[in-house]
Amino acid sequence: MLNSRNKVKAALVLIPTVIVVFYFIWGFAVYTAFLSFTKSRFLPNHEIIGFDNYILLFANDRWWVAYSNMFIFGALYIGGCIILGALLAVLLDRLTKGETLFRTIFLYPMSLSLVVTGLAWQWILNPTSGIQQIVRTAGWDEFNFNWVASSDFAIYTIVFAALWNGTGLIMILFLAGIKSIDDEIWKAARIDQIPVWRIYFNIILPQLRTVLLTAVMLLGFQVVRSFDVVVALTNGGPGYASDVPARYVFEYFFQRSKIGQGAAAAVMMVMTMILIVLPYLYYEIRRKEI
Amino acid sequence: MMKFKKILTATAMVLSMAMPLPAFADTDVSHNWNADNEAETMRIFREKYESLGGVWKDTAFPDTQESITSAKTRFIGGNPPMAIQSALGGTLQDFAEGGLLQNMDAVAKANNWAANVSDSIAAVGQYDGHWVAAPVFVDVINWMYTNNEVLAAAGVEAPNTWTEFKAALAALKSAGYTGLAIGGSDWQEAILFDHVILGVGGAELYDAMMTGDKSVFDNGQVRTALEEIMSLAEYTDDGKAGRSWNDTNTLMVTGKAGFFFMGPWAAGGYGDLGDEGGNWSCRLTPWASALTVVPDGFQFIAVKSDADKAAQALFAAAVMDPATQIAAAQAKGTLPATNQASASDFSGCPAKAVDAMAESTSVTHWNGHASDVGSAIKDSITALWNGQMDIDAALEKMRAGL
Repeated sequence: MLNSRNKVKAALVLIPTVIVVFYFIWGFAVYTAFLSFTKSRFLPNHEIIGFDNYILLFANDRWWVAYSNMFIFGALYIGGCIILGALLAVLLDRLTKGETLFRTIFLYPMSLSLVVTGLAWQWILNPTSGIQQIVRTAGWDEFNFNWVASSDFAIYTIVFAALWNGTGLIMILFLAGIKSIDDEIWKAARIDQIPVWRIYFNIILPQLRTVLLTAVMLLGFQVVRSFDVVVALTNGGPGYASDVPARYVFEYFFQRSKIGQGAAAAVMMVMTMILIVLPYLYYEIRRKEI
Repeated sequence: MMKFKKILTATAMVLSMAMPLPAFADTDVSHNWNADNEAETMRIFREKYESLGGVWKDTAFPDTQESITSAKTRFIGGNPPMAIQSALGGTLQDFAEGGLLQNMDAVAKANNWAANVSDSIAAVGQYDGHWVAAPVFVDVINWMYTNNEVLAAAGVEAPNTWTEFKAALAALKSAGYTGLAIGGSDWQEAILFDHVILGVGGAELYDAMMTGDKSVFDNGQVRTALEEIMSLAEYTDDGKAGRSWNDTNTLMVTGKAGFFFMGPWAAGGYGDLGDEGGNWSCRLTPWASALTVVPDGFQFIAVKSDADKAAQALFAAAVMDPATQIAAAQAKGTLPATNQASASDFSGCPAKAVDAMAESTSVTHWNGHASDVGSAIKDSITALWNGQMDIDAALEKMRAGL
């Protein structure tokens, strides 16, 4: 237990961190929210104009493309990572030999930054030098795989790259969870002669709710701030078909001299995140208390 | 630590003794001139500046946007560069409205800038009647580059009209070539649009659009242009998504594609391409008697200290010197802003531009207008070209944005 003197010491040590966090994270977040109500264009300007920036933002089809892409990408990325990650974790858990080898192989993409991932996938998917060209050279002349050049499919290529990068982490999370399950449960299930796959899907995985919560949280933040992989892979193109909110904010803030509208878009990103995360957090925490 | 300080002091003393003239603070110019020929351009300005007694320092960026963002951040942080190179026009208005620019009237008067450049060029160097920037180049944007060998192999003559151009594209396609080399960025697509608009309505329509005259949308000319631009899609290759302009340039030069629309920077910077007129040649939009131009130059940032101001004045005098501008323009392969150059000073593409300037109408390119104009063109064209919008929607988006 901390005595009162130690408590003072602890508080003193923490104060600088608290100040830094409040100033640089919360302070700047509040300032961004403030800027979204001002006339800021090329430079920050503190003249308040109400909701004009939001009206312009909502009238811009570019924003809606970017915003809906976030949901398409988010659903596929979070769902894909969790399903694939859990599946790989189960398979690894079943392995009697070579677990370390496969774990390293599946975890390896995570050690690459998303920029490198995006660039590598850009080369792989490029219709004139990647998969399409290789298959055509091999003899299938009519083979078509030009998703990266198609405004309808470009966003899915980003899902590929991000899945390849992110699945390993989720796999490790689930693997750790599976390993921590009490052996007695296994023994009991064996005695009841339940098939192995049912043990996993009806007994083990349902106990890993906290792992699932962690995974959804981690991936959710990845989705909202996804920027580097998009810039490296498609740069929002073709046109602006694979744009995402973070890139939109960057472009309006720094390249288009529209700080006000960029700030409004940033606020929309945070609001969306809160709207999605809060109910889920609330639900999970309530469950635990009961 | 003490020892280090001593060495530092000693070095400073030696340096200051070696300096022939009062030691100006360094210039610190931000720019995006990185290609070989552009580096040569910078060297010419630098030598002139140093011969006047300045101390040189510069920061290179990969593109204008990055150097603008950096200049802005450094200005807010209280340590701005003294000058930033960029296209003048929209950027200059943004900077000036933000209070970032220095009044250079005294320097301009002392060096007689007004007499050295034409009135229209002088206008782009000024904001609210005061000099805030030094226009050094005039970039003519609407070049059409052709690969002569590809055209010959497909049995096509260099086209003079839009109809001939489309026929040439069709012939190239059936001969197995990519007709039109184009990359994946919105500004490359917008440059293609420039050529089409000039073909449909000439300089008059182009200028009316860029200056926000919405009545031009009534007679259907813009719609025709949008229809024409879409008819070119079948003559482009699959690899265009996300491709940079210089990779696209390579397609034309290496004989994979016949035509390439790009600014003057495509002709320079690649010394190993060989001269114009060999396997490739350049022409201004053949189906229009018009030039789209963007003045390029240095904007002067509002610095505070007298030493900085003196260095800035010296740098301004150096880059506005007519002979220096001409030499730098020759190195860069573009035209100088000064009115004291003649066609005989140039060869290749810039010489053609000097000739054309005498007999055609010059209009300001979208990149020389406020940034909203460029955004409106780029957003609507890229959405249309990549199939995100139909012609009606793109037309409406463009009309609303301009």
